[in-house]
Amino acid sequence: MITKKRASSLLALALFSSVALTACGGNDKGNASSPSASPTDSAAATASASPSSSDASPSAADAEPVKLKLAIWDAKADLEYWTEKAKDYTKLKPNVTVELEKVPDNNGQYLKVRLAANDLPDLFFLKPRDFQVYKSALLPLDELEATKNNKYPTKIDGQVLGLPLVSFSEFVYFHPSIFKELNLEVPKTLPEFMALLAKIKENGKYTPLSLGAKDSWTLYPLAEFGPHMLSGDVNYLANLAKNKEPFGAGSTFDQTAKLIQEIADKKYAGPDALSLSYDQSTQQFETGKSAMIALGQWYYASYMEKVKNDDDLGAFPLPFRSTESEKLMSMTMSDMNVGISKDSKHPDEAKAFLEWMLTGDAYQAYINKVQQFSTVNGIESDLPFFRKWTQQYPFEPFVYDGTDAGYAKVKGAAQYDPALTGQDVFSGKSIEKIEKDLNAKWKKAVESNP
Amino acid sequence: MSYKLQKKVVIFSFLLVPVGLMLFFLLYPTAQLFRYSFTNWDGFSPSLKYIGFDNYTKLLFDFPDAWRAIRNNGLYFVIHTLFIPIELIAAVLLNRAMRGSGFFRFTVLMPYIINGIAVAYMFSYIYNPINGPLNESLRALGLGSWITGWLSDLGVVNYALIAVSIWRFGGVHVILMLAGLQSIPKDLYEAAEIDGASFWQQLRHITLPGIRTTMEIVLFMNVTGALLQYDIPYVMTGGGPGTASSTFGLFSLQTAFTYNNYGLASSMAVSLLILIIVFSSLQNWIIKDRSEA
Amino acid sequence: MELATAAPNNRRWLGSAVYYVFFAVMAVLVFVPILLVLFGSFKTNAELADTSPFSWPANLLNFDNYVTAYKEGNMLRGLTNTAILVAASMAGNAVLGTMTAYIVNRFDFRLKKAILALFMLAMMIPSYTTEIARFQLIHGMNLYNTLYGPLLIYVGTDIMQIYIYTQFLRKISEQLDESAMLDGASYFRIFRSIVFPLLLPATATLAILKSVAIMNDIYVQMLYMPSKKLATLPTALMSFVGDRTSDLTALCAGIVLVLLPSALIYILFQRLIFKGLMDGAIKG
Repeated sequence: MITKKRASSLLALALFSSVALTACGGNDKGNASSPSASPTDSAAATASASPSSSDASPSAADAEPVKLKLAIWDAKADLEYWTEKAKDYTKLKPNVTVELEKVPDNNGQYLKVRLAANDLPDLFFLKPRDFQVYKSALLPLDELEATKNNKYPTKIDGQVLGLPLVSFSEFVYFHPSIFKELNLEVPKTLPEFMALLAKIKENGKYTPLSLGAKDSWTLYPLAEFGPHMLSGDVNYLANLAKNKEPFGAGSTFDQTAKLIQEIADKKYAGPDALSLSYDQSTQQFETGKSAMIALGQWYYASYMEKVKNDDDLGAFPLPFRSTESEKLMSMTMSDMNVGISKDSKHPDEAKAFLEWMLTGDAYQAYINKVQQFSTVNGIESDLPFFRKWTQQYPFEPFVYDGTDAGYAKVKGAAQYDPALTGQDVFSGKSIEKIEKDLNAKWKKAVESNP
Repeated sequence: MSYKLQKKVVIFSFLLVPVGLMLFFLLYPTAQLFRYSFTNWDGFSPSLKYIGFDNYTKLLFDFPDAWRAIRNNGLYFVIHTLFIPIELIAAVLLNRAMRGSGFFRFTVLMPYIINGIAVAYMFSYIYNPINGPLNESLRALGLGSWITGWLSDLGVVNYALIAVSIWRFGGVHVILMLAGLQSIPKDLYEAAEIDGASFWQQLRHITLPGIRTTMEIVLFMNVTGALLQYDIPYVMTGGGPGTASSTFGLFSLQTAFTYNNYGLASSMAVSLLILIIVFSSLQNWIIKDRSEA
Repeated sequence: MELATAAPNNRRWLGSAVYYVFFAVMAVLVFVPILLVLFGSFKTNAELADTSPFSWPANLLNFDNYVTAYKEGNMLRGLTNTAILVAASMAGNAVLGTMTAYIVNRFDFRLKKAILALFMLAMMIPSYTTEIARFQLIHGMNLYNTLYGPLLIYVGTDIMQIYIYTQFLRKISEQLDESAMLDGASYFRIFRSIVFPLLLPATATLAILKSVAIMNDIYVQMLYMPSKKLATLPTALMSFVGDRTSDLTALCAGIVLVLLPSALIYILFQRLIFKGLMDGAIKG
């Protein structure tokens, strides 16, 4: 009998879906959004509202229970912090619960499938490059207090669509003890940096530079930011989309590729960096088997979690310049943008929560935990480590802009992934051939996307 | 109720749900897939444009990356096919009642049954450059010079992954062939023996025709398995380094999601579908029973 | 005379030697990787670095890695969800599969050919290529991030088992049906009291194969159930490993924990599994 019940409910579902399908047959992406709050939502909301009824504040009891979803990619510190913090918010506003959701990136899939199905979470994290994909689904945030207070609000087509939680610079982390032991100095130019690698390699005791190139993204400080930094052009990516053959000999891409090739050929990153994962490479650095690792400011927090102290840790900017007469800069970008879905059923509550995320204690504790620069005027993060080292090795920020629409389109059409191309170079493919293929693809992509 | 009426009722009510489910969850999405393959849809926008066969033209004439990926599928197919004779020998041997044959049969199928994702990770561990058992055992055998980047060397990575695929799927082929062998009546061989047929004649006229139907299944599995291969590279290398170990399926997923080209990815999926149908019909035609012709 | 008997004996001896060498090699190839992972799972990371991977773990009671994998890997939740998925799809498949096979095998009707052709076509479709379109459906039915989405897909798109049920049913004589009809039994009754029970052996084998297939699937489970609460064994393992690829011993423990349920099923039900595979392979 149970089975019969199951069969009939399946049947009901099947019928329901057929109606839903015919209803929106014409433009099935336009209005496929669910008209009713899903039953799981309301059930959970009532469940979460029940403790609030025992709460002291009487006003909350009348307010409609609201459940917000906040999606974050696999960023451990952020997930942990906001999961805990969301509970504080519920204490403040008993009718609101915020559920954190970890969304795996799966080859850039992130939330695209849910975007297509009009099922985005109320709030979600965005990388700069994501904005071109999600822009039509995002609520403008221009009038928010938090926007006025934010140093780097992300503006797309004239509207603010995301507020970054952090901004950070890129660094080369190193072990001062190793530098002392081998009598090394912090490099000021790119040739000096390469010479430094050679020197450590020659000594033989340590791997010069940890690289977890099996996870292609770990190549980004070189493969992605190298061409950009070397060009000295803040609008490098936007201009790339206008150039039909930007990857040939003599280009900054070419310079970077040769750099990567040298690191690979001379085994500066160990005998087989392409087999190492990110996690393995950081472990290698943390256990003092390698002298350096090039990553963003965000890495500091995870180093501290594993090693517990920064006694033997230093940081300097990767010097993308050939002589000391040029300006020393380091890629600096805002990240962890939070956007709000247009289809959120509680846009006001979502905005209120976003305001709260970016103010007061909630934000201060967050920015200290992740050890990055504050994006909020009036709130400074306490960064003793970075203050110390940036005083010693100062640089100017090179502000990254990765939101250009033309670049996003051309890059997609040419199926260009800088990190994967970096892996190609690292694996020993001929740079000339890579550039030729890339230019051919790029040309077609530029031509078809005027 | 008369049986005639009953028949109508029972046919309708019994088939409604399964056929409905199949229509909704298989054929409707497939139809959509065909539709998308004629569009420039990026996978998320509300608007899409029909662009005729443009995606297919691009795929055929202007998409070397996809061809490189399908060459890897081809490699899976060829090497798996080369293993079929060995699998057949294993099946023939297993078909003999020997002491321990139960245990061996158990062993042979084991890799197929246990969790495939765990198996992929298991081999990630085996191939690991730091403390990985494969390198350690090579060193112990004095073959340290053979050590290479199993998952990072462009010339090795695909073979390393295919080895995992063979490990996982070789056994089930053996068992299926064994099923075919066991379905051949013993008296056929006895009769042949009386007629004085040699071992090779028996193989040619009894064994091979006897296992033809199961061979069809094995070959079908072989084609679909090779063409659809995606979870082993996905888990173990992510298709890398670069796109060296990507397969057509994995690459089409990237085309859809990393590069926002769902239309093109759909045309890749449709082509895959067509390839599977063509290849398996071709194989079936090759091993067709021509004895009556 | 002596020579004549000696020769076949020799040949037999040689035959067995080939047999045992062949399968000994095979057994080594199959079991050694698994054993290596098992060894690794009981070692500490320092021990793994210092000892041969083939060496016996120093402390077989070192369950630290299992504790890590179990706690941080969300394995219990994964097991529960996988078990629910497996059990429910088995039930759904058994009912729908037998019903379909019954109709397809025992009745002639208009559209039968068309429906059979549809099923054939459906069997060819590589399912993961169609997910975006399918996703719209699942989402439209409010089944996203629930167990029902994957469940419906597992139950609804497994055409292979309909095919295998039909093969089985073909071998079951129709005389029973006919004599029941003489007694005035309805078709539904015939199905319930004759066909369904007679197909139970097939159901058992298909159920096992189904559970293997579900435990091996990641794509559907990753796509439709991203919520951590809905982690299944393979997806739990994936996110566990993603966080800690350098911790090889914990990785080994995670692998063993995920292998274990499928290995247990295999050991307990190997007879059924072989029967299922082999019966499925030889058409009636």
